[in-house]
Amino acid sequence: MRVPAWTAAGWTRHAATAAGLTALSVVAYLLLKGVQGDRGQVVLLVVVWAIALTGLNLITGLGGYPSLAHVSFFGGGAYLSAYLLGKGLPMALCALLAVGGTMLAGLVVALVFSRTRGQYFAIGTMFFTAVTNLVLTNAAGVTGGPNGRPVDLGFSLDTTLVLLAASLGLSLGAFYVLSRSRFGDRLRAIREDEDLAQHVGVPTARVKLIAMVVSSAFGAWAGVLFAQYNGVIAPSQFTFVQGFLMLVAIGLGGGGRLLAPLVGSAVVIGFTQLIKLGPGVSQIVLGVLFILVTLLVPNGILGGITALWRRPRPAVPDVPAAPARAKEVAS
Amino acid sequence: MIQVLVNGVFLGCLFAVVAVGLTLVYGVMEVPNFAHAGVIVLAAYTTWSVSHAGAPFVVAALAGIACGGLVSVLTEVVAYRWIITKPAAAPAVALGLLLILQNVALRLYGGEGRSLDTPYDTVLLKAGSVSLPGVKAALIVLAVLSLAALHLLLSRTSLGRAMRAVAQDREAAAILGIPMRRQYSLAFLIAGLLGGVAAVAYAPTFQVSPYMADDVLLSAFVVVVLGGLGSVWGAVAGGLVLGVVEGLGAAYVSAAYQSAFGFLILVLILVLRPGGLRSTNARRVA
Repeated sequence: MRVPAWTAAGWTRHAATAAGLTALSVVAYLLLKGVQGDRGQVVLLVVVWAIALTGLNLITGLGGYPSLAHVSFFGGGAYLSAYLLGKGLPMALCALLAVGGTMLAGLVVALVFSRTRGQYFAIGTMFFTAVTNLVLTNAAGVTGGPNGRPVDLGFSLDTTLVLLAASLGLSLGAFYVLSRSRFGDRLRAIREDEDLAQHVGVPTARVKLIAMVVSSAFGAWAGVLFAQYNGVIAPSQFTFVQGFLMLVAIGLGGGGRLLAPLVGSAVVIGFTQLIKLGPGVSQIVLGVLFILVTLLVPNGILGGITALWRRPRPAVPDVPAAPARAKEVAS
Repeated sequence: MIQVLVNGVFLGCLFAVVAVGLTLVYGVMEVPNFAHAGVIVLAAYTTWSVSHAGAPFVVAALAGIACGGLVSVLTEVVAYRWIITKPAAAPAVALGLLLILQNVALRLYGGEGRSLDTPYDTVLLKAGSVSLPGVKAALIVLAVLSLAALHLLLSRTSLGRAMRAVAQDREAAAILGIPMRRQYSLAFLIAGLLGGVAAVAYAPTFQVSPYMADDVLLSAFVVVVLGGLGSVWGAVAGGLVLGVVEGLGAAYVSAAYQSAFGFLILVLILVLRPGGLRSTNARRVA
């Protein structure tokens, strides 16, 4: 459902969304501040993932391209900021450089793979993540090797919490704006029919490239905050399986929908962290769930709820047939 | 130098066997079968547990290969069959299956690596300064035999002809009365059996663990891209090329980054030759 941006109804909707996202940020802050221990860790992961996945929601949700490289951008932000902080740079500069550097890496990856189609894209980005992980594991001098490295405290804990909560609302807001822009329309056009999109003049490769670079910024920023909160980072947090679980989260939430990152990461993190089913079982359950959702409810949990919500209602008012039917009912 | 080349050929044979399974499935069904790694893992664990229970190695190997075929067909019947009309969902389903299969292995056998013993463990072939352990020689022999068998199947039997027809044009093949579902299952069966062969031959040179096939799978996908998705002989040639390149890279640059050389090749191919080395009609199988 698209809302025209420059009408009164459109602005009401935008304002409502902004208010909702602000409220979400406040709730996130209270939860981050109030919940302690293991559950606090779960809240943190959900928030961090939601920020990172908002970027993935652009390329995978709107554009329909399954990027397995996103976890590398997440890890890139975490490792770059930790490394620069270790060199004694001020934190704000570290964060800026980490996000910028990761976007540069994203640009290189995108330059190669934005030209590829469907299956090749998945294979290529999957391999990129595998190689990134290889580097994180083996370049021990910089990354600390397979056991990871500590992260110096750049932001105070409270600053990190405020930044986390604010970033959640702001990145979802950014997604809201982007998805309603011409850029969002072009991505949707690519998802629906890439050949057709190209024929009607959408520069498909360039749009995919921009989407990937923008998405890498979200991932990197989430990585910076994650490293700050966690205090230690290791290659095992940024494996291809994690990257795939990110994709699962978007698919479960409902690709392209505003709140898909939040719902998806709550489900995935909930399954892997909260519900203790023994080693491997939670991932088996997630795998089954993901396949079932892909096959049965292609629009994800949010899409399924929307469909259920809309079904019992009468026809939308601006459909021409609706008034006539209303008259029949009245008479 | 020759030693490095021999190691490269060993890797190449391994990649070729895995890649042919991937390309066959892609040819008839257009699915990038990431779950193939899970099939290999389960086949390797089956071989390990049968041989651990005291059975002779040949029996264990056959059990492993059979398990590979069975699991592969299961993935087709349970999941892939339902997305034939929705190719966009294929990567997602394939990755979901991989997650399931690997974690089933983790659940059943635990995370620690197991070593698979074979009767030819201690054999060491020597020719001058070049030496080849028995397990690696066995892999090369098994790979050549199974690929030759596949070639005969595809070129000499009516089943093989039907499969090539499906790969060339699905709709036309269906109109001609080829039973499509049987062809899909058959492609997965062959891919799974080849995966089983790869598992039985590869596991003794490494170790059996839930993630043993990840690197091999990635390299095999590079092979498939090299040869053009859907081409069997492209996959064999690509496998040997990539095996030699990774062998050279591991020997002369850095062994830790062995699979990164595959990535380098993938990037070069996609940038310079987006259609693969041999420009194939991407749907072709043989």
